[in-house]
Amino acid sequence: MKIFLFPHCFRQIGWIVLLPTLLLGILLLCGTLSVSGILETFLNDTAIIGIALGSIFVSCSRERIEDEMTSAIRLKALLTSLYTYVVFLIIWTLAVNGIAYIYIMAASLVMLPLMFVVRFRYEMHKYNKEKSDEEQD
Amino acid sequence: MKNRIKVERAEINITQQQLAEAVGVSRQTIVAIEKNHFLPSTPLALKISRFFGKPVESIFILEETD
Repeated sequence: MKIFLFPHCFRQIGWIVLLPTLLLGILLLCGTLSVSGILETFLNDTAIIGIALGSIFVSCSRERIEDEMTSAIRLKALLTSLYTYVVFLIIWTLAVNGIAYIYIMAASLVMLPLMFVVRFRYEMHKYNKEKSDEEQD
Repeated sequence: MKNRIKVERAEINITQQQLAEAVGVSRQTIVAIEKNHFLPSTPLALKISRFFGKPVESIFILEETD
């Protein structure tokens, strides 16, 4: 079963896109960056699309050595993120009401891809740190 | 499922890296398989067995709990 993955270089491109747009999104959501009109629309769209694209590039780019274990790690991270997202969605829906809920829903547009990035990169960090208990020359 | 990959490697004196390169996976994957943290797919199990020149059942042993 073939699965499409972006070339390895897309991971760096992903971080370059993700980090500034994530910062932009946080500033817009918190109201720290106050804009209106067409500029507001443009910045909102840039933040959402940038975070989504950046997350996908970071998580769905081929590793240096892409084998079945990295595929399994990627799938596990996606599943874990989906479960976590649904749990948070239910909690937010029950606990938050009014205008605040709209802000939460705006953030939740990109929450799943972001959770996937965090989970997958964390699992890959553990995987890459795997040390043999014996070394041979 | 247990495996005898570490024993087989020691018998022919090869490193995890060499085995990994021979079967087309990363060294970390071989480490994870040896530690029973990861179950290889059928093709990978067959490649490993073919590399050692032994039947797959002699490298990978099914346990009662599997």
